[in-house]
Order: sequence, then structure tokens, then C-alpha cells
Amino acid sequence: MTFDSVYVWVSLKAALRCLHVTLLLSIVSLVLGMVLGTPLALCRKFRVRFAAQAADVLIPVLKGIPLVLYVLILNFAILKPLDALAESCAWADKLRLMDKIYIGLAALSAYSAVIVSETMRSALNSVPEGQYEACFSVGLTRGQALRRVIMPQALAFAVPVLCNNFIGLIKGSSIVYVIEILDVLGGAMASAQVSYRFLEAYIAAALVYWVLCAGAGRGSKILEKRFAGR
Amino acid sequence: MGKLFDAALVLEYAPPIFLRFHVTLAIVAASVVGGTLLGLLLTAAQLHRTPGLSLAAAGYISFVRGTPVIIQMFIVYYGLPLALYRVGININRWNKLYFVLIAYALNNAAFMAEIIRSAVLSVPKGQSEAAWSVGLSGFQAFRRIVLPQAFLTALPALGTRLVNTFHDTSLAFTLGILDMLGQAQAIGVRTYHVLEGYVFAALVFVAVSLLLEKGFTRAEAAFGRGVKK
Repeated sequence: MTFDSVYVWVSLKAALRCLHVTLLLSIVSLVLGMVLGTPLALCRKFRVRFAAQAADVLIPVLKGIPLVLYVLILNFAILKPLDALAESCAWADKLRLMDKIYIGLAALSAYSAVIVSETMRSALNSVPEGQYEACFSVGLTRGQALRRVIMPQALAFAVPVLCNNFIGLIKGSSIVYVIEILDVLGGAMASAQVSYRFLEAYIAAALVYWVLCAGAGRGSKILEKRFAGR
Repeated sequence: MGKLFDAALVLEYAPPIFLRFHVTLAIVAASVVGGTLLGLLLTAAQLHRTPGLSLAAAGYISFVRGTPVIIQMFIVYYGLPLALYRVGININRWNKLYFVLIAYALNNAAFMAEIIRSAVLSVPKGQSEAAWSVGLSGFQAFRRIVLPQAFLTALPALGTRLVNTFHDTSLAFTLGILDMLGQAQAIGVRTYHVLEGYVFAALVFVAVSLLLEKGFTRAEAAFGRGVKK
């Protein structure tokens, strides 16, 4: 075995061709996570009947499951019924060849919703109780209080944590490689299947993730300053 | 192909899968012990501002924190034999598990270094100065004054880290390690029932994560007694 940096370059180009998949997976799952996770956190904060109790039980449980199991379980649970359906309707192979990226998106988004809801909950809790009381005492409704007083403060707390969550999602999105989605890792590995240069391919993929995560970290610093400056 | 999910099979597959739990524990143990020791070295390199060394430590930490652990594992698996072969050591016949243990220790070191560093820096400078002023040596001041306070600050982060490390071990099966997930897949190949095994593994992960979280909440309360809030 030898190490040949030429193959790092070859794999790097292959990995970058699949960059959009990794970006799509991590950005969409972060956005969906915020869309689903914030209402969950609000339900728990304001003790909305049933929803709060259900979330209290479910979120710690779901938080205990590693991301790779979300991916594997959803992959199986979505594909198998579809297979059976396709078989009974004689759709042939159309569904089998369905782009698995939707399964990856579903798994990452579910995972991200759980993580982000915890972030938002601690952000809401970071705002002192007196702020809520002061809002209600001057006659603001709950919605007004949230929008004008609570959320601006909670977001300043949440932004660095959300950026961390985003970095976690960028790295976590590489796990969809186990269900054969061609993301950055998958692209790099596909190029190595030809040359058998696996070490070089992994290093190439690592470089791409490193740049992405370092960039996200930089962005986090800038956002933090902006939110702190208000 | 029978039913999609058969609850009875979850129980049937539980014993063989749980029997592989010790592999997961071994990875977590190596990762915590090796990671803490290496993390202390990295922190020392960063805090002492040794030129070159602190830059190297910062680069290492940034790389590990910026890349997926699954890739780091494979880089160690393919790269370490190559690097050691150059200096005349042949480890091509090593058990795969050793590579995983090393990879996770190396991975955790970067995260531990960050936790230790921010905890040590959170202790006000005046505490060390006061310790020196009453005649404690540098090491004594660190061990008796700074470390206990830093430990308390670090405890919540250490708890989260431990749970994350535990979750990260679930990726070792991609290298062919026969841990809980590897066993679930092996059963799946034999019986075409893979979902039941995954569900059982998920249950174990949930139970252990909840226990760890509860344990750390208790520890925080126990160690935090007598601290001014």
C-alpha cells in the first residue's frame, strides 16, 4: 500500500460533484427541524394540554436514539411497504429506484426536530420569568409577548447553539451513506470503487466536511455578533 | 417476506443483540479514558501557548470537530497501518476493533480538550493568584483550587459528551465490528427480519442514554452542594 495524493484530488472532484446533496440534506433538515421543533418547545413551555405531556415523554426517548438508527429504521419502514405496494400493483421497479434522498431527508429532519426543540426549549427557559410577567402586566397577549420581547432574547441565546446543531447535521448527513445516497462521502467512495484508493477518498471527503463545518463555525460567530449587538 | 414488524421477534432477537453490548462499552471506555488523557495533553499544549504546539493542537481540534466520526474511523483504519509501516511496524493483522478504539479515543480527545479548556478558563484568574499568594506551587494551585471548580463547571458538558460518545459508537458497525447494530444486521441477513433488531438496539440506546442523563443530573446536584448560586 502506498499513499498517492493524486487520488485525493480525483476523489475531491468526485465528492464536490455531490456537494449539493450534502448541503440540501443539512440545510433542509435544519429548516424543517426549526419549523417542527419550535412549536414543540413552545407547547412544553406554555404547558399546552396533551401536546406538552406527549412531548415530555417522547422527546427524551427520541433524543436517546442515535442518528444512524433513524436512518436505518426509516429506510426499512418506508421502503418495504412501498415494495409490497409496487409488487401488488405491478409497478415494476419504479419505486425501488425511487431516490433515497427523501428517506435521508425524513430521517435527518426527524432527528433535527428533536434536537432543535431541545435547543429552543433551553433558549425559552433562558429568558427570565420576570420578562414574561412584565409583558403580561402591560397587557401584551401571549403572541405579542413572544414576538416582541421573548423571542428576540431567546434567539440571541439560541443562535450559537443552532449553529452547533447545524454543524452536527452537516457531519450527521454523512451517515445517509449507509443507505447508498450519493452525498459527499458517497461520491468520494464511488470514485474509490474504481481505483481502490480508499484512504485518499476518505481524506478527500474529510477535507470537504472540514471546510463546510469551519465555514459554518465562522458564520456562527458573525451571526452571534449581530444578535448580541441588537 | 412476512410481516413488516413482528413484536415477538424483538424479544427473540434481544439476547443475541444484547450479548454484543460489551463491544459498545469497550469503545466508550477507550474513548473516555484515552480521550481524557489526550485531551489533557491538547489542553496543556493550547494553554501554555508553546509556539507551534498550540497551533497544531488547535488544527487537530478543528479537524476532528469539523469532520464526521465515520470518516475519521476509516482514515485511522486505512491510514494507521500505512503510517506505521513506514517506520517498520506491521499492524496489518490487527483486529479491526483496535482501530475503532484508537479512532474513537482520538476523536473524543478533541472534544474533551475543548471542554477542559473552557472549564479551566472559566475559573477566575484571581483564584490562582490567591493560591500562589499563600505559597501554593503552580501544580498545587491547579490541583487543589482550579481543578475542583473547573470540574463542577465541566460536569454538564461532560454528561452530554458521554451520551454523544455512546451514540457515536453506533457507527462502528460500518467497519464490520460486531456490536449491537452489527449483530442486528447479521440477524437481518439470516432471517430477513432486520427492523426488529434495530428497534431493540434503539431501546437499549434510549434506556442507557436516559440513565446516563439521570446520573449526571444527580452528580451535578451532589457535587454542587454548598456552591453559591
